[in-house]
Amino acid sequence: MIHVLCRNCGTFDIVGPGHPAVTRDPETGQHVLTDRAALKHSHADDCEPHPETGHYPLHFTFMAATVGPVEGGGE
Amino acid sequence: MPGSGMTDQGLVNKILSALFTSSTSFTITPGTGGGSAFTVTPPFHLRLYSTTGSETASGTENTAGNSPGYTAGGSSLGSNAFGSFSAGASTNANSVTWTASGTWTAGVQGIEVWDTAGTPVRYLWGALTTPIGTSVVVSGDTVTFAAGSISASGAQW
Repeated sequence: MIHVLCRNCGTFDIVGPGHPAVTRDPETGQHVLTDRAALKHSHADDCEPHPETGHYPLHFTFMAATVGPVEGGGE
Repeated sequence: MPGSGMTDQGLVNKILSALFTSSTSFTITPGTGGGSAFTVTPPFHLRLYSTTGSETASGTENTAGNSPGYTAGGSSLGSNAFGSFSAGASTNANSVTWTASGTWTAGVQGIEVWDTAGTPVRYLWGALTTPIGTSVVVSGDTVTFAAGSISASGAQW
């Protein structure tokens, strides 16, 4: 899951499988956040995008990743 | 059901805790015929990857060119990268954040944890549960791994 926070208005969205911003990669089976525009629905009505960039500045927080020790050493 | 590993889990806890909670460098010196001495060099860095690595090879790391605001080599996980290991596992002790200064034309699919030796050594790798695709992160955005969001597990050793 990814937590997405609008840096303008503070509205909050949790993005994962089934969210309209997420598509499933047919090759890997992973659910990938691909559609930034689909995150707009989580903004407050009076929230406006940045006048120069046209974007809502977002704060993405990854909430889960699992790593394990590497076999065979590093570089 | 126990894991498929071969190593006593108490020993796994001790080894991984020694590696990832230390804030100072230390060297493990094998006995005769055991190969070269191995130096652990904190702080550990969290790196971002547009292609996830494998057990034997690093992935494709994001760069300042395709992910403005990110610098190849990653950012520090703090003086103590992970908490003490229990049941072979632990999580990152501190959050890590990057602020985008342009569009990230590379996605973020995976992460790796490296030390900061002169020639850095890779320790951990893994895929994100929900990756971010290309050009989703734009200027002004921030990308964060919250404390406790990265689970490191040696339970299958």
